Amino acid sequence: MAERGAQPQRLARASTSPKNPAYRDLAYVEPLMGPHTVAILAEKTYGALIDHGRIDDTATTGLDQAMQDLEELQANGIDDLRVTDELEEINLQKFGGSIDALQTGVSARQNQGSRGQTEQTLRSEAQRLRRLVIRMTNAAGSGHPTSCMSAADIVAALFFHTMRWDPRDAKARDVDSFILSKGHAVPLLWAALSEAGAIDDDPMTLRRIDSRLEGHPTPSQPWVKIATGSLGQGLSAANGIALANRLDGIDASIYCLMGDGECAEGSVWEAAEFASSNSCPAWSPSSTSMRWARAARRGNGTTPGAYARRFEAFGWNAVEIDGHDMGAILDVLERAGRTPGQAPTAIIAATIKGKGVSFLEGKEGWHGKPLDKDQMAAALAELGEDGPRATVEPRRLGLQTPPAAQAPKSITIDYPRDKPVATREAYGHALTKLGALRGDIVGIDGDTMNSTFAELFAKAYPQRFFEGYIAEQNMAGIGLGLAGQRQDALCRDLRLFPDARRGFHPHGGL
Amino acid sequence: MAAYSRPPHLVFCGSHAGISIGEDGSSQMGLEDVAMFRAIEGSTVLCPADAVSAERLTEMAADRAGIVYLRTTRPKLPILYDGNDSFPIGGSKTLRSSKQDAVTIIASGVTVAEALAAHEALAKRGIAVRVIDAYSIKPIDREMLARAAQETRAILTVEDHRSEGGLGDAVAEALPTPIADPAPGRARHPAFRHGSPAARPARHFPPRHRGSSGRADRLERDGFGTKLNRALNF
Repeated sequence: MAERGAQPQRLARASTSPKNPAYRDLAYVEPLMGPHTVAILAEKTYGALIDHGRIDDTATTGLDQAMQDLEELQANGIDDLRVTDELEEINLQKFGGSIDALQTGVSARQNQGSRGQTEQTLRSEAQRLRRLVIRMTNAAGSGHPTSCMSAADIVAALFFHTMRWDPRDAKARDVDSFILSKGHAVPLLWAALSEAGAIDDDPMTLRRIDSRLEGHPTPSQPWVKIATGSLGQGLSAANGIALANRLDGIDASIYCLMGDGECAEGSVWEAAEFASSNSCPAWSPSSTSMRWARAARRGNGTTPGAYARRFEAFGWNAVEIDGHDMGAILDVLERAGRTPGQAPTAIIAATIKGKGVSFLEGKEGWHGKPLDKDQMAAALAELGEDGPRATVEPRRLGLQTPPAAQAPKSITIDYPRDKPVATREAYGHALTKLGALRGDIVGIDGDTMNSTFAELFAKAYPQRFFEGYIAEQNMAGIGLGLAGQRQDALCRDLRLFPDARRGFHPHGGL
Repeated sequence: MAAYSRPPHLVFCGSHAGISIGEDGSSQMGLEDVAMFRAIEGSTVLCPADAVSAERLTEMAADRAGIVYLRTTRPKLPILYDGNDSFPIGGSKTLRSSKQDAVTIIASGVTVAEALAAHEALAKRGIAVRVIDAYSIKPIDREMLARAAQETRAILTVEDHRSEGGLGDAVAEALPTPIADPAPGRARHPAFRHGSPAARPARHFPPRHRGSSGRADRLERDGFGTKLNRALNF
């Protein structure tokens, strides 16, 4: 073949920098040099080679010794073929995720070229959503159309552009998450899922007794992981999802859509504190979109700027935008929450309740009211005919294979009869023993771990232990988020053990 | 919203619950927790009486679907069980029983050891009482209750909780034929002393004892409640 002009194949080696700091910096370079081989060196390793490396034909010398070593390994029961197979398998999985990310990046770049087109399509989709929620709530005879219309642009941008999700699979774990904390805007969620082809349910069955499209989100509809609408709880659940993603090695974004009204709930700020104080390098970024509508009417000083300052005080990045400017929405969503380890981002989106219909925009007395037939006709006429529908490109982040399920074993209990022990202490012992038997036990503590003996678990399994401090509503919400997220795709059960303290009153959370 | 989110497994452990935290004061006792968690749809409420059952119930909780509440307490409690004993959810442990049992005392958590002490005190006076550890408050052991209602003349619950929604209510709801009109018979403790409604109960007595002069009534006349209180160190 060479005679006919074919280029000889060369062996190329990558990953030549040792990961283990105890190894020599040229451990994977010097012994593997030879003719017709290519080694890809990182700058640091290359520098080391120039500085103190020895260049020689090392790959073809000492082969007898190498063969002898391999035989000895075999004799000692180490099957080198099996080892390489396993390493290959692990690396394929690892690189699979990177390639997916690369492809996502490439397609994002491709899309940039047609950014104007994207914005146009999303604006059209937002109008379609507005028309649909008006019709849905009119058919239902109740519901909150104006609360949906204010958030339609943000939801269109998230569902039809920014979020990496797969409308074909409600149980997918390796996707971005969306939580509708202001659950009364659920017609908008159902409308977006319907438009994306994710649900077959007829949107016009909203709020009917036999419909899965309930008046507030519940897991009756598989796309909903956490029931919301008891306001102020979505952000805590988002925290739980972030922890679940961290435990499962999923680098996904979490979007929690909140209303300005629900920010009066103290649990929102418990959750805000937890989110920023847990932003260690492995923390999955979470973005919060907030809309502002009624602050001016309430006259209590909660302007968008005030919300931004509050979130900043809790350690967040806060960005203020016009929540109806599609260009601004896309800009901020592209910037926010894609870099692991950064602080969570609060997007304070100033929006207008009832946006898109003149007789609803910012008007008093329209909260939680559907339009009658004539009002609907006028509103739909103003919104115009349905424009082109946006499509969702299914995107997944790639999932590492979960560890094989451990066979449940029973814990051993042994207390001498003559020595009294507190049940709180026994709980700590049992939790720690269970932690050893099962990788799926996660502990959350309410700043009582030395009283509840959960510290035993915390010390043994720090990766699976989270300190929620004395913010018990948030603790309950985190538990829900964690439990809700890990129930499906990984097919392993999650056992959560939040510790409460006496007088624990997580009414809101429960 | 937790119940409506239908978490596959979510265990809450409330520690330092009940009156046994003592000196921290009445505001710190959390005497509504059992009622709160019992009211949640599909929930499980467990209250161990010793370290062995606490460990085993923690393990059982991990396998239980839905929301589980595990109530633990502060003081050191005597070990009542062997490491190999099993504690199925929905079960109970009969710690003392005889054919002569006049009354069944149902306790859970810290009150189990106290009920055992009461058993000893009453035995000295020739009164046999049955003692049940109702470690599973929800679901409660209905078979055991039906048996107790049939075989003994009264059922007495010893509560470490507000009377609304605690062990007493769990027992009353599960008895074969609960009755509505109150009669005396439930031990009271200091947490209820100030401004709390008069002791209710008696829904816990099977109908055939209503207005009777049976052993339960005599116990009350004889100051059983006071003696039990003393036995409970109140």
